[in-house]
Amino acid sequence: MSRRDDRRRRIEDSFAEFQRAVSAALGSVAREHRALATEHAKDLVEFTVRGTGIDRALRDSALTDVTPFLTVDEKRIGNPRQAPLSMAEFQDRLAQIRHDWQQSYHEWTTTGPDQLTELVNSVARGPASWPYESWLGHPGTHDGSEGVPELWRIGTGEVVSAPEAAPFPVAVPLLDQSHLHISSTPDSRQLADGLVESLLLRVLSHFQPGLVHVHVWDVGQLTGSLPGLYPLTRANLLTVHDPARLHELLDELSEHIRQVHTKVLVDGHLTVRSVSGEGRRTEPWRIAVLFGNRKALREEHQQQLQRVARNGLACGVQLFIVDIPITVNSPVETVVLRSDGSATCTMTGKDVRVTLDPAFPRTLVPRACAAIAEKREERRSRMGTFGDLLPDRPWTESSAAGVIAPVGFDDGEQVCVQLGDTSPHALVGGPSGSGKTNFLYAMLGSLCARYSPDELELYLLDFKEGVSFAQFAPGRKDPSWLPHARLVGVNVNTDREFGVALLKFLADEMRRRADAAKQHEVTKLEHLRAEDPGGRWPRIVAVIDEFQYLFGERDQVTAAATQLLEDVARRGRSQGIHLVLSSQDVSGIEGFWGKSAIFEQFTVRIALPKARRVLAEPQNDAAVELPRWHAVINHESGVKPGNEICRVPDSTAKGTMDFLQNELWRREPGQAPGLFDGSKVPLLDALPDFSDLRPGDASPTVLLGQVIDVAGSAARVRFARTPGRNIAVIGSVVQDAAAVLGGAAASLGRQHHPRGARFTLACLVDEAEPSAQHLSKRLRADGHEAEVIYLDGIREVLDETAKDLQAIGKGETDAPLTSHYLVLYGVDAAQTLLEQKDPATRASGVDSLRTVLKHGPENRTHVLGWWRGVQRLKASLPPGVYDDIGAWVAFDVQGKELLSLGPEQVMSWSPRPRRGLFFDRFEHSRPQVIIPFDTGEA
Amino acid sequence: MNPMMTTMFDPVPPQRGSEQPPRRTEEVAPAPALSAVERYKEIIAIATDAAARQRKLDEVRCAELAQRIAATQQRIAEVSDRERVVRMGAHLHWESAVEQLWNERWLQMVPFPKADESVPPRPQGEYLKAMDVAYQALEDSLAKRTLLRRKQKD
Repeated sequence: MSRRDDRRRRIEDSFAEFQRAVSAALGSVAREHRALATEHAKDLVEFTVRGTGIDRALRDSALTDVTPFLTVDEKRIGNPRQAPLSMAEFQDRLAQIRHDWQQSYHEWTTTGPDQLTELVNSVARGPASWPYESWLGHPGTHDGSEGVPELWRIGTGEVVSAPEAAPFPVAVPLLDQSHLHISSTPDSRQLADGLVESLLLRVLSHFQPGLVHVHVWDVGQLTGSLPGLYPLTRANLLTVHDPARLHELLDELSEHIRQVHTKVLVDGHLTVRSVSGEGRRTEPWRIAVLFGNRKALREEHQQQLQRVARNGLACGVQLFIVDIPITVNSPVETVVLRSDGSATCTMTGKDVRVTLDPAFPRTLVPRACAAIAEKREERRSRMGTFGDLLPDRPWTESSAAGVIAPVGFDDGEQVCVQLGDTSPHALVGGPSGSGKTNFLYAMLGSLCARYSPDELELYLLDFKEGVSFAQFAPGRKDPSWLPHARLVGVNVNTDREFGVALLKFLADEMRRRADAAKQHEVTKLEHLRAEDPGGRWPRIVAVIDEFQYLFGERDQVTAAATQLLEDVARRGRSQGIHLVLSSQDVSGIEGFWGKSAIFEQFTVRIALPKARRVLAEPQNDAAVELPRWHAVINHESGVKPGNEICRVPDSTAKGTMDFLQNELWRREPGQAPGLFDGSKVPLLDALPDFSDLRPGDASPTVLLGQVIDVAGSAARVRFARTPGRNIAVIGSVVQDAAAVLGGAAASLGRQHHPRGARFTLACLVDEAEPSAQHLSKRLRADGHEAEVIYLDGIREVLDETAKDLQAIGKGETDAPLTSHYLVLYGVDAAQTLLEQKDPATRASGVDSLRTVLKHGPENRTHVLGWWRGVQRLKASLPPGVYDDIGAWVAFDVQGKELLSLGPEQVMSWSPRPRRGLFFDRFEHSRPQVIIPFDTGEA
Repeated sequence: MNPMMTTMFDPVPPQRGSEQPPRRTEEVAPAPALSAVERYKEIIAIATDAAARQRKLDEVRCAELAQRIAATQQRIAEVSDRERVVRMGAHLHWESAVEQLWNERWLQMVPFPKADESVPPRPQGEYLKAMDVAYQALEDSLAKRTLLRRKQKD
């Protein structure tokens, strides 16, 4: 190789090396530059994506799509631009962002939509959320007793910012919970109409036809809104209001709210829902749909609408407000429809895009509404039997706040009578034949089916043969009784004392409850029941038919009855004691008109056809034109706006009340009610007071008859060893006298061991003999010595008894150990005989009798005598000194004649069949009326 | 007989008012019962919370990125300056080399070298030094002939 070649090679090598060094130097710095630039670009992309929000960035075409227009350079290099988010360089960043996104939404993605679906499915069954195919066209069956679906479906929602599109049902609360406000644009108004129609159909198809009434007002049109619902107008379920008369609709709703407040929301209830409790909804819902035109309402309408909105929900008034700007201070859910058809709603918030369910098929909607209307009509015509008054399940309701009972039907709807703290007592009026009995039966049946005997007790009294409550007590033909009845008084007629006894019993019970309430530091029965959940505090309803008889005469019975009635009427309300007074006679009510204090308490007025003075006449004459079988129910003291007219179903026919009583009785008979039947004579042997008597008491008790009281207890006299413990029966009828003497002697016989007492039965008048013999037999059966003597033996017995007593008095002998009872029938018949003086001693038989009466009782010798007149009794006693007769029972004797024997109250006594006036001067301040026993003689 | 009523009493509920409440309290969980509406909104709140959480996360990251972007821009400006200086230096060397090689007519001339980014990552100074060294070597390889010629002339 030549030197030149060598040199050339070296130059070439070093030049090549130089080139490489330049390349490397340039490359190194360029690479550094590019790496930084790439990182920068990634940061910028991430910044952009996160700044926009990943969900929005992914939908942003500038980031995800490539524009079809290429620049000159791009065309030249044939390497078209890539969309930033699809470039490989950014994938790692994008992946990180996605990861963060998924993490943030992890809980929602995994549980949210599923939970919402499950929730809606569980609380909104049936028409409330299911697809229309499964229910549209089938009228609803719910009566509100199972509550109201808490949510009603409107569409499907999707959280737009979530990484995964998971649709879930969107539903809104309605009835009782929240109003609905819909605002749309002109483009989406049709969707709003569809939403309203769908929701109405869901509600209408859920409940029994009739439980939901729809009112529509459309500012733009009189007809044409919601055309599919028009068949409902036929059954009065849809009312379309005049566009120019919004105030009429608002007035109607306000008036309805007012009525609900005064009639339904009583006893501290705040909502209709709480009144209905778990039972059937008593007050239908009213849904008012207002279509506006996005302009504000007139100021007065706006204010009235706000008032309706504020108070409506509690009273079952629901508003659907479409395109009316409102400010409401009551629960409302809002659906905002955008022009593109999507929606947002306050249930789901701004992150959820709602797609409303498509409207139901045009052809099916009118058909479904027609079916609802038809069912409603059918129901309206069918409702109206006694059975329809009764609940599906008996004895499920609580009487804590009051009792409520449907008694009839108005246009297929039940009309109720309510007794509670604000409407404590009821007054029922109607002339004979107007259906008063029927009404009372309907009311009692309806009450008894709803409330168990632990929740409600009945005290039923009828003064005349008019209404008979006899069937509610066990009878010979029908052994069943009404388990709620604690006392049934029938044929009370002249025994007004029994009415007083009932009122007295109620007053005592009222005091007992007030005391218990005081101990628990409460004032009302409702609160007492809450404080003492274990206690038994039923409400008491006392029905007194033909109550005017109580006040029939100006005497102490009337005075006592008035005083007690006033007491119970005023204070019974808070202790759960309610009076239902009925009368066929206007005078019965008029007699009281002056005593407004009593009648103010009778806020419930029930007028049967032609009843007068029950309602506030003359302004309220509704009863005059009332057809047969109808009644005016008025809870507002009879003023006209309170009238509710209803038809009362036949409740006295066979298979109605009697059938119900039998069913309830078989379910749980409880204790049979006490029965007071004025036409019946109490059986001595059936009387608990008699069968409870036992030997052993030093001062035996004498039972003379039955006192007229709620317990049906016996009239008693204690035979202590003190002076005056003799009994006189005064009257001309042997039957009465024998009943008293028989009962008295038989009760004494029960209190002595066999042969522990001696009975001398002196039969001084012939007609008394059967009674004396019967008594003698009865006493002998008890093991006692019971000798029957006649007129010829009386003198001897009296003389001897007197002689013995005198001997004891002088200390010649000891007091006898055995008791001796002288039962003398018709003492006065022996008067002449007794008046004859013993020629030897100059003493007469009358003297002996007086000695026995005077000294006998302290030595266990008592006289039970019958005199046939007051003067005849007095003749047997020392003149002017009558205190040896400590107790007496008078029958057919005028009160005036008895004045010398008892207090001045005896003056008002006038004889009546099978009733005696009983007075015990040692125990009584005033006499009592008694009913003599049936001793089983006949 | 009323047919409605016979069916009415068949399902006899076992409860009596007074016995019911205690049993009920045993069954029901002590937690306060939420209404369906409240429950619904509670579930929706999971999504709302998630959105808020994501927004917060994005905000924090964006703030961080904004800082980085500013810092990177600074560094890019520096690197870009440096690259210009390197390129300028390389051009100067190249022009000088081309000038010196001008007389070597046998030599096939080549265009300015392209940047070779595949070189191993080393501090830029090393590459610059290597470039200087290579240039020096090229200069040396050219310079020897001149020396010899001078010697020959001498």
